[in-house]
Amino acid sequence: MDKGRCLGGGRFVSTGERIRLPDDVTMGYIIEHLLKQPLTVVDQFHSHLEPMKFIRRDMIEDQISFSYARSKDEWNVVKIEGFDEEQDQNRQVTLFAMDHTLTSLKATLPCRDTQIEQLYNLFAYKDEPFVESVYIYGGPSTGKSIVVTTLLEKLEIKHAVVNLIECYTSKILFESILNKFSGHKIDPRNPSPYAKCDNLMDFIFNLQKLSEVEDLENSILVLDKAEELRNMDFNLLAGFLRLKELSAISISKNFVKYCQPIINKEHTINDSTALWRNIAPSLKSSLEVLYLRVDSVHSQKTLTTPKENLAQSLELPFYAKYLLIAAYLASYNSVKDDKRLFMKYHGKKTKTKKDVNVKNKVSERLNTQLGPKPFTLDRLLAIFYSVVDDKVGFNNNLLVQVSSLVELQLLSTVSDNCCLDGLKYKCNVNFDFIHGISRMVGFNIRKYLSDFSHF
Amino acid sequence: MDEKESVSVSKGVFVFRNDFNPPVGKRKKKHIESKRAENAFSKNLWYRSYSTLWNKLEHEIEILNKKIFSSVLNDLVTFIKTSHDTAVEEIPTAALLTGINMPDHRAQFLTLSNQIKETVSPHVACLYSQDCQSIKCLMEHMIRQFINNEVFDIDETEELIESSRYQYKKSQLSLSFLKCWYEDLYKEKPVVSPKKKKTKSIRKILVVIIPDFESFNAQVLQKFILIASCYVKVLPFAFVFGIATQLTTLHTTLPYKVSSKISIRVFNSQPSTIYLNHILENIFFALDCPFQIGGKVFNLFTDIFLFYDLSVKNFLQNIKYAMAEHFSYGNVMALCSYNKKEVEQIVKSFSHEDCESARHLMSFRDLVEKEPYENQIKLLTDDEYFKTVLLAQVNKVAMYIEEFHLFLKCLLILVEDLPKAPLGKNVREMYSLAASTNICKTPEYKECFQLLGFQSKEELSAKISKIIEHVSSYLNNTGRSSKIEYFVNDLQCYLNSINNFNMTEIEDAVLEIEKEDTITVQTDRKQLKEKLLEMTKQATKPMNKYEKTRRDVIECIRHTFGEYLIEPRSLYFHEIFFFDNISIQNYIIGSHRAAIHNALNDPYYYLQCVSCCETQDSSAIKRTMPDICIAYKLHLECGKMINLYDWLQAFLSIVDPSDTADDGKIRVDPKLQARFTQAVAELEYLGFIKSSKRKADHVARLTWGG
Repeated sequence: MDKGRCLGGGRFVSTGERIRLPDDVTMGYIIEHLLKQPLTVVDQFHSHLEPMKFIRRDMIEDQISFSYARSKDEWNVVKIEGFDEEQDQNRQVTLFAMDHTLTSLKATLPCRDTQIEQLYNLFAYKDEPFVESVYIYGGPSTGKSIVVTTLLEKLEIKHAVVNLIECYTSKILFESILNKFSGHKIDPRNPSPYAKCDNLMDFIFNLQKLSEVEDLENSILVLDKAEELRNMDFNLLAGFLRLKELSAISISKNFVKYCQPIINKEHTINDSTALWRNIAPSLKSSLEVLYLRVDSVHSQKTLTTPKENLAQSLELPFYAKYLLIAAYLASYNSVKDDKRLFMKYHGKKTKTKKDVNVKNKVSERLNTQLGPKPFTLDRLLAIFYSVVDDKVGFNNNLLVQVSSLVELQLLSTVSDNCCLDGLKYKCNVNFDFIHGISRMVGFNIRKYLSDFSHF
Repeated sequence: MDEKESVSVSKGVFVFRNDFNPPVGKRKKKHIESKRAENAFSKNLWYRSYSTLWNKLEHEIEILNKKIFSSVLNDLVTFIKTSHDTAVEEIPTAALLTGINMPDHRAQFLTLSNQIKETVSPHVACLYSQDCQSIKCLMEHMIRQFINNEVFDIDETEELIESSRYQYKKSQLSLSFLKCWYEDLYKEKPVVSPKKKKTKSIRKILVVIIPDFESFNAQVLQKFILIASCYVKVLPFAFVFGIATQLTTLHTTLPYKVSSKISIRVFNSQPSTIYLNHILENIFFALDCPFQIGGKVFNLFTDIFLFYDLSVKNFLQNIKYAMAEHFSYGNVMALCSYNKKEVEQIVKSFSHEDCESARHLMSFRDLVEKEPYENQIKLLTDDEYFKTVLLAQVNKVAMYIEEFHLFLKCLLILVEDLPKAPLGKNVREMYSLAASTNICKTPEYKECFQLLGFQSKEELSAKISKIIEHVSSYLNNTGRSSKIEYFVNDLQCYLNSINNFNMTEIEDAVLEIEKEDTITVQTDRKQLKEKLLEMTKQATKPMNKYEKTRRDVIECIRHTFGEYLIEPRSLYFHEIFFFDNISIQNYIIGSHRAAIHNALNDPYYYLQCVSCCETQDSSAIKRTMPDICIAYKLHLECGKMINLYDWLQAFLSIVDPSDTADDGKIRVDPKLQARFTQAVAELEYLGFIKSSKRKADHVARLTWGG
């Protein structure tokens, strides 16, 4: 047959009449059979002629179009739960609604498609029983809570979200769960909870009571920050896990722990190296501030102050500075060096081979690198008095300084508070800091550190 | 509720709203009662003037506090005000770097919270670490503050709340309750009273102030921030942290997962030394504070401040103590006032005893000695004559103090920017010097004036015009025309002439001088030598016009200063205004070591029993003294190691001298031995001795010296 003969000038109609099939089939016949061009088969389109019930539920999301037909009294429709048969005989509304929740969910929460679908499959079908408990885990700020709560809200499932971090006692936890399930609003004038729950038994009892009044079928309890359960009463986790058995109500527990972190969506730009080079210096400089989360307005100011000024910006009374220096010396010198360092006439010392070896200490063995050692108050005061030039009265104001240094976390107590004598402290500041302070009072700290002063 | 109390205030009918609200009458009455019971001195003249003066100063300090912190406060308050204008994810947080003077912070944070209450939001909770040992305590504490605040607030503005106020149980105070309370407060209100709609429709911010960030338990704080961040969308929280050390403590206390919940802005407050200078200059050195601290005591206070605590509050408490000590000398001290009429009245009302106590003042002796003989008798015996002299002298001292401060300030203007600042850069440094000695005779003062002799024209004229401004503003305020006015006029003349010189003239003069000086004729070596010698002798180069004026003006200033900046001790009855009793040191600086030594060495000091403990000689030991004192005094005589047996023998010989007669066989009374053992054990507990391992029957002495 000539190629020009089957199309144009009304010939398409006559071709159709000749093979006695509908227009779309005629088209196919012309393309594939007459013109010998292969057609691509897309099986996401569906015709009413094929049995719809063979489309499995997990395939539904991938299909482009469905169809329906009625043969005698039986419907050939997609098998899916949702609106009842009378309202929605051909399942069009259900499919549309389902499509809508899913797509809107996906739109509001980008990059969480797999998670949303997984959760959706677990909870969206109301006539199926819920799983007993679901663990959701992942790094911080990856959108676990938001996915769960928006999903539950969209699906209109009865649920109670409880953040465990605010439940510093299990009483608060129980009562807030009950309040939420019962829809009990706390009256500020009479702030009694729905029911008093002091322990798990009370909770179960009240929950059963509540279920008589309210329909708690298919409710979900979401426990946010569930890692806190570890620090709470030991029976809580076990209790919640078996809540179904205990209460005979099908409440599903949802442990929002941590969702899987997913690739950063900003990471798709191709020319990443050039971009990186561009942004690196400003990123680098703001890293420390980023950690502190200081407002951007003020970040410039903090950036310009170099580290040494930290010591200078700290205003301390004169003797407190010396006390801090003495504490540092006590923390970073060993006791046996005290006599040599702080006494004027400490006698002659013959050099031993050991001393020579010590002199060539590697940096890992330097006291200043090893971290502070505890010292007693007596030693601190003795060093303080040998370090300070002028005569200082030994009075309460001086001793108060020690405790105020502890309060400022520049020193920390190592020993137990209950023993009166022999309190032990540790110095918390580093060498740069103490160097800055001793420079301010005109004191050569290196001279008094066994690491730096060699015999 | 106590019905009786309100009935006793008035017979009116009271409507008892409920039992939560304390009736106003009760509060007032308590206040009155406490005032009445306050002191037994209130009838005394000196006490009255003391309390009026201190109240006035306290009030001024309060105003000044507000002013000093106003800039930081305003920044902070605007930050909090605007913090929730846009929706926030992180809790807005202000980190206020306060410096370590912890005792001062309370006042500062109190003003802050008051200001926030006034301008931003009535919901302010101030959390101190001692109240918040656990997260539970913290929550309860915070929520109670929020809720109670609001209750009082409503109470004052409107009286329509008929709701039964509930005595909240501790366990009910949780954040979910706060949330309901808050929603109730801001959602139902407009419905109840449409008038309020405009003001109350904006949701007010919940401000949490944590003044002592460092002493908080890190765990509690972290948890609190996490919990608050869960609620930040419904409850607009804002935090204020008071950080005493540095910003870095924030990251050491808060891990990233917590610090990511807050967004911090940093505020710096003034260092406390500047704060102190402000307080001193504006209050205690001001012209309306008659009470003066003498040089020694002032030095003591500033030393405590600079060396020990950097606490302005303690400084003020010290001054208050000194004032109380000063006034409690007697009614004479009531004369410490600038109000001439009042002083006159007080002097008139003086009894003979008051006059006598005035006569006991040290400087009165100098006054008497200077007078001729018949006047001396009159001064000592005739009260009326004495009163007139006293009045005249007191007025003189008052006048002197005013001028003293005036010229001290002028001196500061002159010397504060000199190289190395020999007299210091602050008024307080100069005051401590001037109040203890005659400042004009000190080497530092001379050095300063030497340096002033090298000042350039611009610097000098700026300083002089500043002085003129300062002095004439003083003269305008007081309205006195006196010698000081002449001084100002003189200065003005000098200033005009200095300003009229222009540089070319000066240089011309210099050139002229140089011409004269050149050595033209050189005859022989000897003559040249003589000539050179002569030239070196007249080393002072002839001055130009400016230099001459400069010399004159400095001389004039020096002369005037010398007249007014004399030491206070040279005035009669200066004790009425100046307090310089250094012995208060013992009361102000606690010294437990000395106190223990004193108690053990001289038990009479504390026990006050004449019969058993009083001794003339401090080293004497009486058998009636407490055992521990005897043991302590004996141990003072020992060396490094104390033989217990010898010690016991010495103890016995004092406690029971009769027993020592038969020294051949010593039989120790077990009772006495027990007493001795107890005394030794007590000394060991106090840390004076320590049992020694080297010698079994010896103890080591641990303390030396007084």
